[in-house]
Amino acid sequence: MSARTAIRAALAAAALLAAPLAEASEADAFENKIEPISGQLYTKAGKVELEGLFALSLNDAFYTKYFGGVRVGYHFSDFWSVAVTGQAGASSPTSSTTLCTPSQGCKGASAEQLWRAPGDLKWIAGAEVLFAPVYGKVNIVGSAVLHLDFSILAGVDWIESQKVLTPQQASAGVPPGNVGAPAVHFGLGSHIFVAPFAALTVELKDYLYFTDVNTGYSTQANTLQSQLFLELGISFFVGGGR
Amino acid sequence: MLPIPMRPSIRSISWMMVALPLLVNAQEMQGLDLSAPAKPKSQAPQGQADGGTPLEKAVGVPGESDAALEDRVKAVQRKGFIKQNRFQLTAFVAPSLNDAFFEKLGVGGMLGYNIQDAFAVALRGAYWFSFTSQYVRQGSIAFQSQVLSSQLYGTLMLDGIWSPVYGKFSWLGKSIVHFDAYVLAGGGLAWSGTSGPPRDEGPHVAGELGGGIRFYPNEWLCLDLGLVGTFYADQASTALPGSIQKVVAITLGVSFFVPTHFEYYYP
Repeated sequence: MSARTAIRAALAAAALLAAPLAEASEADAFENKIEPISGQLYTKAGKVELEGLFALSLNDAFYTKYFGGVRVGYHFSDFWSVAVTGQAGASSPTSSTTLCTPSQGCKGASAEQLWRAPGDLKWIAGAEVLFAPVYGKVNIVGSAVLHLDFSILAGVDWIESQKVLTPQQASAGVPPGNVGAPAVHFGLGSHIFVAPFAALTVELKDYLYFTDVNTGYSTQANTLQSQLFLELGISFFVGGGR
Repeated sequence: MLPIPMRPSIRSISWMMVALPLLVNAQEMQGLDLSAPAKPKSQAPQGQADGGTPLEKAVGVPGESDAALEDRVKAVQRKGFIKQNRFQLTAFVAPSLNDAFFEKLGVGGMLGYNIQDAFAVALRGAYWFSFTSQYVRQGSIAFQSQVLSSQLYGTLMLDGIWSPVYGKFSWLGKSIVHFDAYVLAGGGLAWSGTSGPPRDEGPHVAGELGGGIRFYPNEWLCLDLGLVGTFYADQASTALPGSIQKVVAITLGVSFFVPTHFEYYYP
């Protein structure tokens, strides 16, 4: 048997062995048409995240806050990241500061009365660590598909707020200045991916800090305050990763 | 020297050999493929550029086509959890989110029946504990006034629950957990401090509206995370006008399904 004959025989044998595979392939009309994706389609590892955000305070006793801010983060992996945040804005008295009397009806508290209440935050700056172990795909009414992740986060901050005056100080009519305090925060967050480079961000954060509050007409004590914020933002991912 | 750089490649190939059968197995086990349809690689119809599609070339007939091959078929796998025709028994706690002065904690239960996989009716009841926060004292000092609030004790509601969103999460890129998201709405009764003596106004008409996410770790259990607002009319003091009371609470619950097993059905 010559070499050429041997090669032809080997090719013929290979063709005979491959024939059942070819038949199976023709039988499956969907072959190579279906691309199931089981992994993480949108990745963050190695990327810088730039976010513009709007924050609204929740469960306020005396002041509702409306903040705008920015955040810059870096994702070490798809699960771990760090970020720095700065936000500032305005506040308005809550409906709980409406005072009612049987004879005069209801009206909002005066400026001097509001100076005695805590919770008028001016700005917040901080740093945080985020851990995002959950990545999900959501099917909405059997059609649209959303990719999202969920994270838990913790950080340290500096909170600047309006100084709380005692009723005695407030009666003098001098507007209060601001006072700063260290703070910590804990929260939950989620990215809803709209593109490989962009996501909508939702976060719920609870800030804890100490500040002076009134305990009497002319006395104060340093007490722990809790401030809940809902933050909505849009993030852009820049740099490495897929 | 080649041997040292070659080692990672051999290890990678070994991992791929081990992982491939697992991937196949995972594909069979998971319930729903939510991948987006594949993007067409070219805007021009296939076959115009190179003189014919593979099928045309194979059969030798220009213009011959196969509808199945032309379809962009989306792989839809089975759902991982079926609720239809199953009872659902839930226990939950519900800390309030919207009252800084009198924080509430609801403790309750729900008995539901899933008429369809995406729709259920449920009877929800809760008893509400109330806790006075530091802001009552701070507000009293700041405004030299009294803080009044409606004291909620109990709620009993008949709800409709619709869950149009179904999906799956991966945990650390490994295990898969199925979940759905729902909205609920209903009406019923609320008992407050004015329902009993001395005012004896009885229960107040109430409504509730909310939504949440349910995670299904196995076929008879789910974990529920929701946000529910309860609304009822009450007048905390006869000296003040009445108003709609709002209690917005996070609900954390655990549900058990009966029967504990389900049979998959094809719609």
